[in-house]
Amino acid sequence: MENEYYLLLFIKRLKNADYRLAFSYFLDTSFPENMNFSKTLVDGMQAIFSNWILEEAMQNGGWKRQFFAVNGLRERKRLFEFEEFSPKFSCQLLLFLKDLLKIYNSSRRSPFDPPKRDFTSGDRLVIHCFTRELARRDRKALMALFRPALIQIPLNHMLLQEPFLDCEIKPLQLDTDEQLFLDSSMEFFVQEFHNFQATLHCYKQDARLDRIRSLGIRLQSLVSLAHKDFKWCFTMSLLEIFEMILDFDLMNPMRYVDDFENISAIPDHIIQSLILEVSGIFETYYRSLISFSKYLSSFSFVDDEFNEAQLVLEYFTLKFFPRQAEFENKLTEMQAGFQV
Amino acid sequence: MSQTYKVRVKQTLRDTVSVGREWRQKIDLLQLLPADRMGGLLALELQKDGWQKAQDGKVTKTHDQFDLEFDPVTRQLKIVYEQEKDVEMDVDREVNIYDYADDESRANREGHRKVIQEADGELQEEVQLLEKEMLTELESKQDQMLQEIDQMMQDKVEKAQIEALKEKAKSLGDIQSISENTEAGEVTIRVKV
Repeated sequence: MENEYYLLLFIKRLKNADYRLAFSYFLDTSFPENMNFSKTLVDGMQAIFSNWILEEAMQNGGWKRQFFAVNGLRERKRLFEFEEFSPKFSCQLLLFLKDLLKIYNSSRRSPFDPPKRDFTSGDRLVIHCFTRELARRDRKALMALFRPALIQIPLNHMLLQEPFLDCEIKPLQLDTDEQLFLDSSMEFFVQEFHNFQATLHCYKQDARLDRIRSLGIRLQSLVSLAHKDFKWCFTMSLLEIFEMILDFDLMNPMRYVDDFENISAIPDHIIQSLILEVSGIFETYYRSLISFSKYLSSFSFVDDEFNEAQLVLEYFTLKFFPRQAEFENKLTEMQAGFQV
Repeated sequence: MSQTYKVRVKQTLRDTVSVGREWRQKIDLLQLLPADRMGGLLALELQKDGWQKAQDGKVTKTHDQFDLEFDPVTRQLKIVYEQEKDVEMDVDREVNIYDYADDESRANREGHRKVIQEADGELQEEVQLLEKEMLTELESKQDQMLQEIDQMMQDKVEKAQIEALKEKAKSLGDIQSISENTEAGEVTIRVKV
């Protein structure tokens, strides 16, 4: 009974991002043998996990009506209005938490290697929420430590943090629950982009370029999903990122050069290649948004998607079209600034 | 007890020297059609000249050790030169090692370390020399190559612009006649609007 109390406390601390207390005051050996729990504890855990998932989704856009396109299901609803959304949890989630404790307590030189587990969609969502919280609080060391365990969750590959930035994203292969959760909580991705650009200066020139390359691939995949697979709920986030590229001065070549006081010491062709490559990444993103908007305007009133397409086009009218000229000017400035 | 050992080391040391350089150019095209269409037409012209189309829409070609990649969306040409050469050194040397405690295995280890350290220094000198040679080779041909690539792109740009002009004329009305003077770089298109 006492152990059950501490287990519940451990889970609550994880949810509240109190990692030091959570991992220091609970041991993997404290899990009951054969994972036998009282009904009260099971109900308690179920409530914590469901609330965790729903809170995360609601705080990141889940309360808005959005156009979902999940496995042939196309509807404009809020996340909690879907009967299909009913994540289930299994014992594997607790075994996963036990794995985390084992990793945390093992020697850093030979850390515990977690086995592959057969999770339910609910388990994966809870682990994803846990990873999001780590990313939100920028707990890089913990993410690096738990990397082998966290990388098993395909939904985590969406994050722009270090172990996941180079992962290929495949949202269409996720379960219905996971897709609904992801589609409705894309505002988190905008936050991630904000953190990504804010920490860009911490990296060296080459690493910075690598990060921007990976970001370019990620943005391209997202636009392609929105354009070709009816993931129109991504649109608002993609357009907010477009605005952030302008607002946070990401098209300033100086942001990508290491030492601009000694810029004359760097060969011209290296600077030119760097700036042209970065500008190319932004231009590709910009052009793909243009073709997506053209695709949306191609729907006529006889098409089923016409009304929805008009609503999505309104986002473009609000966020994209008014700033197109500004974006093109910045692009030209960027490319002309370092011509040699 | 102490003793001097004669240690013989027979080993092959290897290293790889790589010299790489990358250039990017923005290809200027007349804005006769939307920018991405102009890029697409140039990509088509390049494909006629043996360039390969990749999955992401970029076209690529290898031109005398220089890898070329043109992106129709950004209209950028990437030129990459990359050369790798292996350097190998066979070492077969003997050294005298004095061991104060008569420990043969320690003397053996010490002998190996000494010979390898010495040979590695020589290998690094050879590597630096080869790298210098490869860089000189690159410097000597880079200007001429870049000029050749520039000339080749210029020809293709002209052809793409002519195609764009025809496409533009088609959108204005019926084309009556087209006469091309390739030497002078002139195209006359009569359009009935």
